Amino acid sequence: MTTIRVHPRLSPALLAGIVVVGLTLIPLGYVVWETATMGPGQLHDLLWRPRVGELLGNTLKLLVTVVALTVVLGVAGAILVVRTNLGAPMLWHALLSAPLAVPAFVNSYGWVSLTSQVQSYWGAVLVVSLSYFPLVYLPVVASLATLDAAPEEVARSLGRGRARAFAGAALPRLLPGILGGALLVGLHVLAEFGALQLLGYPTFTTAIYGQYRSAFASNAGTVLSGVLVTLCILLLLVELLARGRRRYDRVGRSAGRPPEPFRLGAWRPVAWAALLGLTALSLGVPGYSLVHWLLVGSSTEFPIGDLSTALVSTLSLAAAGAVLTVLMALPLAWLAVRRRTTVSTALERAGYIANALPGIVVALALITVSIRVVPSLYQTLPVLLLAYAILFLPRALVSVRSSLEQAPPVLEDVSRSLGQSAWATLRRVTLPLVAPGIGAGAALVFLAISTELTATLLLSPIGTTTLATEFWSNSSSVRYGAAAPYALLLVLAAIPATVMLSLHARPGRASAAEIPRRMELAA
Amino acid sequence: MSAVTLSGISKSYGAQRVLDSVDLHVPDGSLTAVLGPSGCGKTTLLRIVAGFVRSEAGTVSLGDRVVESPGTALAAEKRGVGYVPQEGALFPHLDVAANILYGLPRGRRSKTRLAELLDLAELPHDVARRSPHELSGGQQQRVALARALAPAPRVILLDEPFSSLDAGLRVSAGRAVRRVLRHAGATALLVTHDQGEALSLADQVAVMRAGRVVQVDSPTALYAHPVDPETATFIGGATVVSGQVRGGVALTSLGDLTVRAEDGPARVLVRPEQVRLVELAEAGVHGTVTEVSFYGAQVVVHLDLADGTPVTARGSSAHTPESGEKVGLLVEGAVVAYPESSQ
Repeated sequence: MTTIRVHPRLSPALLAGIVVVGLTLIPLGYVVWETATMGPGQLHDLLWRPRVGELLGNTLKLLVTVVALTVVLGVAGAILVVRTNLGAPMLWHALLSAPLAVPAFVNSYGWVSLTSQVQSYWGAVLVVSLSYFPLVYLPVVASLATLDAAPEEVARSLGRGRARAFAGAALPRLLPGILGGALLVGLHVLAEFGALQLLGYPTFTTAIYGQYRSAFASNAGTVLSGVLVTLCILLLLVELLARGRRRYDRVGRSAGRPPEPFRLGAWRPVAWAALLGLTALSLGVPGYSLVHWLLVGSSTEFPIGDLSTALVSTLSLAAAGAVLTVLMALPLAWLAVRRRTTVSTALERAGYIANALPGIVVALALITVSIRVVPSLYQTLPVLLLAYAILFLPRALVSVRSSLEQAPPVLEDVSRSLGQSAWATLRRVTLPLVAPGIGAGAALVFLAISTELTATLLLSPIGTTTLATEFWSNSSSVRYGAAAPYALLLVLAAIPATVMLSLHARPGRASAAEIPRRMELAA
Repeated sequence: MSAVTLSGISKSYGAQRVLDSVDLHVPDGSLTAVLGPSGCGKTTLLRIVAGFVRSEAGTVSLGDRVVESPGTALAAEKRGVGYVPQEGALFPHLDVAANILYGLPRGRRSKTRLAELLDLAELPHDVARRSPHELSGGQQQRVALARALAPAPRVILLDEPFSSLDAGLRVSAGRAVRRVLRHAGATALLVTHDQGEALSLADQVAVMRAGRVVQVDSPTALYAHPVDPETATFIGGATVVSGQVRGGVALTSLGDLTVRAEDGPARVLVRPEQVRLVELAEAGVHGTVTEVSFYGAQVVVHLDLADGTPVTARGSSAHTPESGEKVGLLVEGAVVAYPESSQ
């Protein structure tokens, strides 16, 4: 008589999942442990300083204004493109998504190298908003494009005008997309280091970097990290509360019909002018600046040797990091899809924690932990790759998970019933089905690593130069011409991911439910 | 092909007993339907035969080979049992031809074999290069069947194969599948919750309830002599009235009905098609029409007898009464009675 196991076994997948989550929790665990063991007196002294208050004020001021501005730009742009007779929607869609291909620190290099006037609060607001508004624009386009016309038509048949019908019956259903986008912008602003350093606007990230440069791993830096992580987690909670338990799913199952477009009439030229202006600021300025410095720079120096060294090491790091990240995502995704238990769900959730961890916090924590626990690992490749894996695990997890959902277990049952062994089933059914999704996840991580600045700057082994670090050392020492070729390559590296996201959310396709999760992959 | 014999199969999930000592014999070359409401354990039974799930007690034999017993279980891929799950579950990354030939060894994946299987499944040859998502639901079902038949399995298992098809397609798809199975000479076990499907397609129907097999019979025998009133109402609608049996006649509110049962109090089963509506003067039993459902050729009439007993009648729509009309009722043919004490 066989007995049924009620308790889950400690399977290899579960064991691997626990190890992965253990690794990803190192940075958070470090910050919590260090602040908890610091002693209340010292903690109080480090925390209640005018400097911390000033940084908090700066950070929150920037956060609130940038989130508000990106929501206005993103929502207005999405409505113009999807719901009006603006014309050339695919062109505008491409232009409004394109700023994602210019990493924020490259964008601010473009502005700073042209005018020092942006090195102020309003300058920071402008440049950072221009970099991040597509994070709101894309999810809103995706929800607008799949919105069914019926509720708005019902509202109009009940006596509402077009604008009031839209505000009452359509806008609430865009709320999840708007909130998701705003959350992403907020987390990006909190984690942004390169752009704000170039813009000379002090926030927690630049202050943590400054502490690290002057005093290495100090308690002051750790306390600042703790405050920054707390802000990120608070932001996640605010978004969770705002989203609430409301559901906006369509009732019924019909595919739905798109609504008739609003007629802009005399406002059409105004809309074109506004969008042209936005494009000029978000793409034109960095584009002009890049071309300008390329022309100026190439006349003085065009170090093909250094460039190719940096390119090769960037590509190798990105490839190795992508492989490691996907390998770490596999057990978590497998457990979440195929072995649904409270434990596996908790493990998967923990994999997403890195969403709230700025690169600078992860880097600093890994430096300190590696020095204390395994000094031989300090400033070596494994630590850098681990930092990449921790930072980008959420992106890989989203892709790997959805690819596993493409391979329901019933297909494996059918294969076994047709005489195929477990190995043949894996090779002939499961792998072909999940490979594209895993590949896409790996590609996204690869592209994200190739434009990653902060962790690379702090953790890269001595002598290793990447596109981002070379760009950084040149632009931060005001050698704008020398930085230009690296900036160009960074933009080229960011284009594929931008195209993927832009096509995924194009007006007229894609499922709205999928977009907020997909957007977690964004720059 | 070979017979399937299950004896004493039991299975629990946690504290819940899903299968309770199930016995079933599926004769060689027959189509047996396992019929039961959802949650009665019929799908688990199928998965035990396929080898996807282990049983806790009992044995499964294919022909004279024991494939599942408490001590041993043959792996699913070694049983030679074809499986057609709900909605077909075609491999989405393979075209129709590759799906059908999937289970054949590389050397036997020939064009001629493919053509044979397409013909067998009554599929046009030009679907071979299409992707599963380009096929209609009924076509997907037949491709799944051809895929399962390709390695010439000993038994075919079908798990609610028509539940995803719409009503009109179900009947024709069901008939097509039965033709294909007959043609292939396959022994088949079909799981369904639809009694119409089970009665019209199967040679033998096993009715399951709460993890037990309550009756195994041919469709006609099952319909004519259900083992208890629950089975009777599950297999086609029926009116159950209480009455007294005396000397081969049941005295009920529907009149004195011919019955083969022992004397005593009994519950009497009257099928809707046994109830004929006539002029008031022609019958001793009268009722008031409460609802009329018109189906074209047929009409289903709901009535209340004078004492309030609800009765359902089904007949030709040539005689369609109005709601509220008073009519006479005649019961035709013999009825089935269950002694009250057995309940």
